[in-house]
Amino acid sequence: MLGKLMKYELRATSRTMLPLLLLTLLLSVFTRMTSAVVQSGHSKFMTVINTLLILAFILALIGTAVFSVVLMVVRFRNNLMTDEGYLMFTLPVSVHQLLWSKLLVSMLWFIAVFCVDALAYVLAIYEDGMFAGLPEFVRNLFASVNREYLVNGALYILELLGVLLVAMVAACLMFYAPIAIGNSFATHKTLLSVVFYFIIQTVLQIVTLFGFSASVQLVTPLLTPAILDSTIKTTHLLFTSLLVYELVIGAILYVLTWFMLRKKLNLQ
Amino acid sequence: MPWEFQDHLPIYAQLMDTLKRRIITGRYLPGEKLPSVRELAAEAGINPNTVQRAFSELEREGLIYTQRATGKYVTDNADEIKAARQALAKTQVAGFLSNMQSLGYSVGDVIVLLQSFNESEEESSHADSGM
Amino acid sequence: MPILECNKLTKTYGGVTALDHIDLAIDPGRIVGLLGPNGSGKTTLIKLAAGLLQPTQGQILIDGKKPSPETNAVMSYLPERIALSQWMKVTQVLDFFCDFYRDFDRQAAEQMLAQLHIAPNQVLKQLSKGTKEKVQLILAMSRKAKLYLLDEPIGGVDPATRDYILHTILTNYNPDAAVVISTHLIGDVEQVLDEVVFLSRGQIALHDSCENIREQQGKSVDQLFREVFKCWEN
Repeated sequence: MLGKLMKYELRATSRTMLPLLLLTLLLSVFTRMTSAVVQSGHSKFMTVINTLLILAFILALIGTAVFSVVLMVVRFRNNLMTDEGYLMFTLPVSVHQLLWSKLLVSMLWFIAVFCVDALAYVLAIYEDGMFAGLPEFVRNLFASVNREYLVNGALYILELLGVLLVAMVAACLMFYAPIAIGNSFATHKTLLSVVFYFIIQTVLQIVTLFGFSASVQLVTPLLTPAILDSTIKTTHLLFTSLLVYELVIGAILYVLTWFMLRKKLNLQ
Repeated sequence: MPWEFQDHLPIYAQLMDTLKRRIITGRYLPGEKLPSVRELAAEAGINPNTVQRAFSELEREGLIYTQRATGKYVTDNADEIKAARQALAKTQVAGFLSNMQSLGYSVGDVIVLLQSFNESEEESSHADSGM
Repeated sequence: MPILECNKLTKTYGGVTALDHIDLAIDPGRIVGLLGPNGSGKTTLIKLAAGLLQPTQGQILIDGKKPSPETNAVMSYLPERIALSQWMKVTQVLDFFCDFYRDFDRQAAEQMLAQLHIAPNQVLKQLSKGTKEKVQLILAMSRKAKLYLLDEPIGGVDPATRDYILHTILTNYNPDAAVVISTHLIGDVEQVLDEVVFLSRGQIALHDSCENIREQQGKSVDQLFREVFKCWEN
């Protein structure tokens, strides 16, 4: 059932996301093409067009990123908390499945936006031979990581990716939880969602502050000179702590959201 | 189109009445298979359990019978149908008479009235054929 | 075992009591009218059964279980508002129901769409409100569920469609399934019903079979309803 939910979630979101990503790619290509014309000639008209295109392209880069976040929030609210929720919550699926379908598809779009924007950026500034040094750079990077970290460099990348993925889920839940709480009230659902967003933010910051000072005391004895000497090992420690932090925050927000949708659902 | 029913009587009783009329007038012939509960419910626009109840009552009165697995049939017994017809006629007459009595007619007055009504009907039908 | 059961079911919104200690049992094979004036708690009761609201006190059971994904699989719910995604085509909505409900009969749905002259390739957004309501009703009635919860299925439709809807409920009749129809248009549905539940200010004012009402009171359910609720308002 999770797969089916994701299929429809993907179908609903791709209606707006795909054209937007395509537009970004097209803008990058046009930007590159007009840049080439500007470089070769002295057409004033083309310079104006080129400048406008670069501006539009930058807006598209920012726009896709912002829009993927907005879409994540809007989909959760509209699909689950308004009239469409009448259908979604009477499907033979669990609240876990509903939540994960939204989380996973949002993550997929975040990653897609990152990849497409990166590709578009490269396309926009593409020069012949610009990747000539890349294989060597990657090889050197992995070699140094291996040397310092004593394990495979790929593992190090995985660690970073793990932190990013968990952070993405936690970031979504940072919006889902207050919306779920706000909509459990009879009136002022949207206003209360916003209020609870700030309440949760504040609580998290306080908890993080205390948690941070506590964990500093916890971690300090572990910081042997050998570890401190190696940047890569310190980074490893940082990643691990970050991962644990995001996991804890994410888990708390997830349980909160799940509880509100399962036990306090109040569609009216 | 759903059938029309009156407000003050149970629907099953009104349905029984309609079915009886259909049997007496030969719309459902002796031994003929009756529509299923579901079909009749859909045709009349009424609840299937109500149809079921009307069937059960008719079966108890002996006008229809159930053949296991195939459905419900009109009785083959001509006497039963005749008796039902007579009973229905009697209730009609009784209702008519009580209406007439409320208008101040005695049974004797009603018989005289019926006779003269019958003669004038015959005359007018003669006149029609003479044209 | 009743297919729908309420035990001391209570729901309050803030300080307002929408349902007040309701005890109710509905058996399979019954077509039940949930009747009451606006604000009497009809929709609240149906939404509690559908799991869209949570009881303040007491419990509601479907097929012996609390509302859950499991009960959703055997319950066909027609909301009183349009819950379908408006960007979908009618065929996509059919796909959706096929995917999620194992008891969905696509052929039956397509047949009903054709009978009501609704083109399957249309986008929902382009359809009138009445037509969208018809699509939702067709979807709800095309399932082979154990419990149908129809919230105001005949509220906004024309008389011909209303006859069609009632006809559909009758032709889909299944002795193992119960149908609950909430409405305030009693005269229109009364012939179709086995029993009626009168709700008044969150309480059950009357729960009886329609034939009993006619037999004992010598009047239709519609007439009785008008009398009962007139008295209560005086």
